Amino acid sequence: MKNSIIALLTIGLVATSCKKEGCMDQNASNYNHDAQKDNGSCEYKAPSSYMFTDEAGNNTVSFGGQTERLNQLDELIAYAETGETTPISASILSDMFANTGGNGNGNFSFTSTKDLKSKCYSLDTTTIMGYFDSIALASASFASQASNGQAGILTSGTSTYLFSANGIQYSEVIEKTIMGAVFYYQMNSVYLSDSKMNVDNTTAVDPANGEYYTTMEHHFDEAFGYFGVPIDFPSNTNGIRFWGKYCNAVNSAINSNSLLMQAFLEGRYAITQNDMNTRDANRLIIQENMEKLVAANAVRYLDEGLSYFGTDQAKFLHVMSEAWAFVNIIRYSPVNTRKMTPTEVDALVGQFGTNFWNLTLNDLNAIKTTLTTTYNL
Amino acid sequence: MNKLISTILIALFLFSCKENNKDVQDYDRVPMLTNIADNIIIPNYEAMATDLNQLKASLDSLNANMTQTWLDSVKFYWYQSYSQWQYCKVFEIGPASDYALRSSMNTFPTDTTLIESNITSGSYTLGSLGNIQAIGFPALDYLLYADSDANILNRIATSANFRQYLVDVVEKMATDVNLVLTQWTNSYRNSFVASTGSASGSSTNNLYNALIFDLELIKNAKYGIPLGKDILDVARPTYVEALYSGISNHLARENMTSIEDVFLGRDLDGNDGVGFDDYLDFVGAKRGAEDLSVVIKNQFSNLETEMMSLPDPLSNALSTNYSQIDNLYFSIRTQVLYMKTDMSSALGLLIEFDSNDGD
Repeated sequence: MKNSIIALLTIGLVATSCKKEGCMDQNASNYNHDAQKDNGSCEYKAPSSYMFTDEAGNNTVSFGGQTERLNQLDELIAYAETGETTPISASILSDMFANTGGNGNGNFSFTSTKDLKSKCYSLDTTTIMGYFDSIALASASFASQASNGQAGILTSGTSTYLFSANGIQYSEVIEKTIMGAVFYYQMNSVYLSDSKMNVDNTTAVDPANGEYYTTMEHHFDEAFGYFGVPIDFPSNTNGIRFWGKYCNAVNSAINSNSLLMQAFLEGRYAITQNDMNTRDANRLIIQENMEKLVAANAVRYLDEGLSYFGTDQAKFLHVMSEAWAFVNIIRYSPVNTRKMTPTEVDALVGQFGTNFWNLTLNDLNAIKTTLTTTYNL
Repeated sequence: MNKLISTILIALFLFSCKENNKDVQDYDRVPMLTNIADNIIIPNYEAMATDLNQLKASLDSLNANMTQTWLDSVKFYWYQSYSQWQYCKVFEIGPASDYALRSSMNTFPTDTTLIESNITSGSYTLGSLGNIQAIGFPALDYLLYADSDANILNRIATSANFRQYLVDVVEKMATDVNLVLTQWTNSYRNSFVASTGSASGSSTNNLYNALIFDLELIKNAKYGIPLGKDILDVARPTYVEALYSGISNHLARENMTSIEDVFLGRDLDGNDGVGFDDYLDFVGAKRGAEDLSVVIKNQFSNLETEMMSLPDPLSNALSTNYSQIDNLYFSIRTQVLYMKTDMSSALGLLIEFDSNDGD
């Protein structure tokens, strides 16, 4: 009896020692084809494009609602820009903003159950509606040449811009403010916030209807959906829009493309691995760098403003409208990571004054200094 | 061989001696429901009815005599009733929920424009949905505190519509509370106690949901919205409860005590009867190494300390002591975690209200 046990043990030991050890999980980056025994050495790496599946191979990524909202803003801005050649209506803009009747009251080329207005940072929906009134008013003067106190058109090369009487290009202000109060706010302060991240990550929402993702995965995807980039960004930059476009615009200055995309990929991958520490590290990278990206764009436009000052009034007012709107977006940053409070943003926005015709180089430099110091740009 | 068997047996025995938590279903919920109905809910509604009757009587005297003494008296009973309301609002189940008592008694911020237009026209249906922001304690807070005593007395002397509006608002409150109280004492009390299960729709589950919902209301309505927690911490000082009288923190403290009372099964005289804490102890609920009931009790005591140290009025403190109020908000959130997440899983109760805000 004793002898046979020893014999069995010996055979077992021999058999074990003969097996080649290594990582046996095909999903691991160091999967060893020859391994016969898993030795716990498997390493996992995030994929290089935004594609994630569950264990059965079902796609778990879904951000159709965000894409629809990006499409809505595209068409809303396209309509707003027609104000350069014809009077436009604030109520059409409002219908598009609220997606009245599921098709922007007939003004969208598509139907959608989503809308921009209900996802907007609540304090600023009326502000945005006010901008619709302002651009409609300015467009009534589309046939006039703009000057200090007179709404109308200014051109530079092949570009045409519509300005209000106080030199503000509202089509840019509207686009950026909605990018901020809806896309940026939803991404950073809603979907990546604790309350949307500390949710279920074990159960698929509704597999019968193709919703194979957990609530947490879906929230993270919704944040990504507002980034406006293809799933293989930044190696592919075709079709980038809104934040994707402005991320790319400052990439050379702050390396934002790979920084942000990598954080989205690794954060999402960490969720599939249920690794909350890595997820949190990456959402922090996203929140901090999205805010920095906003400030970097404001600085980029301020720099352009310094070069156009006194030489190209049309371009100057255009880039000031952009800079003003980008500074204003900082207010939508999450409480836990923001470098400026809304009160501080108010003060900085206030330095632009209410009439861009009256801006001085000192104003521009003062605003720029605050941003470059705060954001280490 | 024998040794081996005895070792195994001892091991098995030790295993079975390990703390044996009793099953949730073994708990007799009748004493808890009886205690809460008879010693907490009904006496609080009775006290509420009495306070409102006194408010009504003093208001009648004010309208008849139009003196500072009677105005003081009205304000005193308003304060008394509003404080007492904090002990009733948690019971938004059964009759109270049928009459939407919480909304009609205490929807804030109140709509001062609507109130004034009601007074001017003298024609209104206070029970209509459209007037929900023009009635209840917040309307009285505005009518009795937004102006100086001298001006209010002058208004009482000169405006019959103003006098009538005060009377109508108070009478509606008294009527609603009496309706709810009567239903409790007539029939609802018995069916409440007789529903002894803990599944969805049972008294225990309903009461538990009402308790957690009300705790979250303190967090969100009394502090979260004024702190601007939903708008990136941009404070909204005019959204506080009792904006004009400035007793917001006092009311929040009373509300928290009322939730503690239900949790402990503590009656109006402070006697600790059977409550949710005993239920948790029965099933041996733990958080870490500590009894969950003790963790929750300690958090109530932390909350009391924090709430006592908040300066009044809250509307000013939002700019002078924002972070202190913010800390309180997070302490309440911690208590929500204990009472919502830990307690529901320990007692097998279901949270039935939805705090999800969609896609």
